[in-house]
Amino acid sequence: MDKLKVKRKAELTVVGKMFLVLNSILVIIGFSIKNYLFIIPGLINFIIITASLLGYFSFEKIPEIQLSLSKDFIRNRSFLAVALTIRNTSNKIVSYKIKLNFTYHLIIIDSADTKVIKLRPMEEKKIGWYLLAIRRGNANVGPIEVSLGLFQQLFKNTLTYEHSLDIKVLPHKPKVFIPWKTKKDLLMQLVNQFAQRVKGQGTEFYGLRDYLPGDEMKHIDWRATAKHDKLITREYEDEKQLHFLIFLDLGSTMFGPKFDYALSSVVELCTLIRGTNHDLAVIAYSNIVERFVVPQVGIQELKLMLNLYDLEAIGVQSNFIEAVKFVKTQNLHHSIAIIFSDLDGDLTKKLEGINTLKAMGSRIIFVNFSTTAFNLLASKETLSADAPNMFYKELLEHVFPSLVKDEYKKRELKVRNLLRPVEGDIIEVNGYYDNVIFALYRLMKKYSPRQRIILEAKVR
Amino acid sequence: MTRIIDAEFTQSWVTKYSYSFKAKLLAFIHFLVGFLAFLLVIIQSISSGNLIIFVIWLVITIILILSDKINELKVSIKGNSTFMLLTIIGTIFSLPLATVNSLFFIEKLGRIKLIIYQVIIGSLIALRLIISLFYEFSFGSGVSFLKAKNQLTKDQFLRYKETLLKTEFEFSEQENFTFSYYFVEFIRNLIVPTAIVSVVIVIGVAYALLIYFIIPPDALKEFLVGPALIIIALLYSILLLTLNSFIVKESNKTKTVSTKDSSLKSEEKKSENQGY
Repeated sequence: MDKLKVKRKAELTVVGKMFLVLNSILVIIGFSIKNYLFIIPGLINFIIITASLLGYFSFEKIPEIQLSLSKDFIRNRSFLAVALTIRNTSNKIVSYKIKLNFTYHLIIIDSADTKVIKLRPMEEKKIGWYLLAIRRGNANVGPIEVSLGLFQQLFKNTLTYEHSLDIKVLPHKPKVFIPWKTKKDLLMQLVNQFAQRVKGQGTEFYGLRDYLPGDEMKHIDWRATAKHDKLITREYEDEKQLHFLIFLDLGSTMFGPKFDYALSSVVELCTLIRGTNHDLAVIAYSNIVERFVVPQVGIQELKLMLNLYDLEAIGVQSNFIEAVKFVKTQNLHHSIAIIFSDLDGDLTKKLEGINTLKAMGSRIIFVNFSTTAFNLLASKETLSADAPNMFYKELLEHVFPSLVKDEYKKRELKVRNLLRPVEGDIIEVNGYYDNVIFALYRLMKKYSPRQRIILEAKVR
Repeated sequence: MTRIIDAEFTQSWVTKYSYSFKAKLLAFIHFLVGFLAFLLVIIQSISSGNLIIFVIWLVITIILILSDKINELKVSIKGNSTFMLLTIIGTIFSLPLATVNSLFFIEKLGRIKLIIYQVIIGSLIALRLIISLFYEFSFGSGVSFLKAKNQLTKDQFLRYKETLLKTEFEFSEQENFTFSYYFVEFIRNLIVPTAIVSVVIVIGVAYALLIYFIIPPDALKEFLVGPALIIIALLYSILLLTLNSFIVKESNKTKTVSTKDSSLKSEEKKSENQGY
């Protein structure tokens, strides 16, 4: 048998005390001026307050309860069932008012959080609630409040069972399913692509060969070309081991569903990279570096994932420069830096950080989680719901989103211009039906030999 | 709530309030009763030719209409305290301005018409209070909750429920208590307190009469019963407050209670479904 701590609260509320004082004044005035206008409500009020205080004696014996959940962990936007078994241990028929408390990660569906239940002596019933997970994190279901008596607003007569169950709410279930093999192929493509591009010790000179369409211009050996009267290109050894640095922005602009999606994308990419022999480190930063995670193999890897799921966006503006400085002190040069952030807020710090990363010889991919695809802006309906008139409604539905999109394009161009000289890239994840793997795939397509010829032709 | 809103969420779910038609009707009756009480005061002040009292109560009625309009379905005892306060303020202003025919004139000397007005208005004020308490008792849990908006979400939720029922994790659907059940329960809970208050009043009156028979015969009965009831009312209020402090002291002791066998939980966990 489990033992539960039960806290009982039985006292007149502030409203109740005020009501009693006001009632005394009513009765005194009523009897003083012999006015029934006051005497009648005064006497009725006395009856009501007496009834509310008598409610205390109704909890003759404390009912037994048992709380259980349908799952131990759930994904965001999925359902959870909560069951409560309650047993009336007294010898009377009792009507209990039961309130289920839970953290902000969950929201109730289809019914109120308070239920009234009538139990005969020694009768047991199992009642339940359906909840929807709306926020990622460590949620709590409980404690349970059982109240008895009619007038809880006047006289609080409740039993609080100090019992709560923990449940982990994981990020959204991905809307798109990409087979593992496809993901792996993509990663290989990505690694090959980057191995040629990341400057550093791994790009050792291997030999010379004939120029092939798609080869980079800068790798053409002009001396050998002049000698042989045909285009000769330099070939390098493949990068043996790449260093992936994943930056995750925890700043205030990332708050809400956007951050959750960014986090699950980070976890997805981490899992994929961990399947190879390449190094990986995750830097979660706000105005400082909040967490630096270097995943281990085996069970440790699982721990890392759960560790990552505990991350929350912080209500301060992020400072990418700090994160880059940290990387510099750790001597993590010549890496593939994948930045999971957005184009909101102050861009200067992000641009400055990118500049420093550039100087460290890193290959940069900026993954932009567009605010227009997540959060409030994505829903025109919600935006215009509070509009005071048709003019504002029109403005919020049509003009405002397009203005935001224009601003976004400007900002995207700024980052793109900065990344172009160092062959950095910006990719965008547009909503739940997009995916970071898709975005990388789109990027790889850009670097396909055919596309490169077109691009180089355009440059010329 | 704002933080969680995104396109997907707003397309699938909508926030609803569990106010039924009956709750709306009761809230309207609650307003109507209060309005009627003040209207009667206004009508009486017109018929008695008390223009200033008429103006005072007209202002009070307008305040009542506005406050009830703002609160709408949030019928509560707290709101009713404002109503009582308005009544007291109105009376305090009316008392010095009352003429012989006014409802607020102290020396009525057996004017039945005025007493009937007072009783009706007093009863309406009490009725409004009872309605607000009954409203809180039966619709107090009328909080917001989510409801599926589109067919896909509805189907998903339905499928989840069905899947859950196939496992051992099932529970009975909430029984819906009828309006009459709440009413009977409400009245049943008021029987004992009514008896207690009646006994207190009887004791007060008996005490006054006892003094009336003891003191010289030329003393007027009505001058004794009134003060005696005031003292009794004060004593009763003090008694209620003392009872409250006793209850607070008693209830502060934390207790432990045994729950059902914990194996229940592990059994349920085994039957976790992989649903949505």
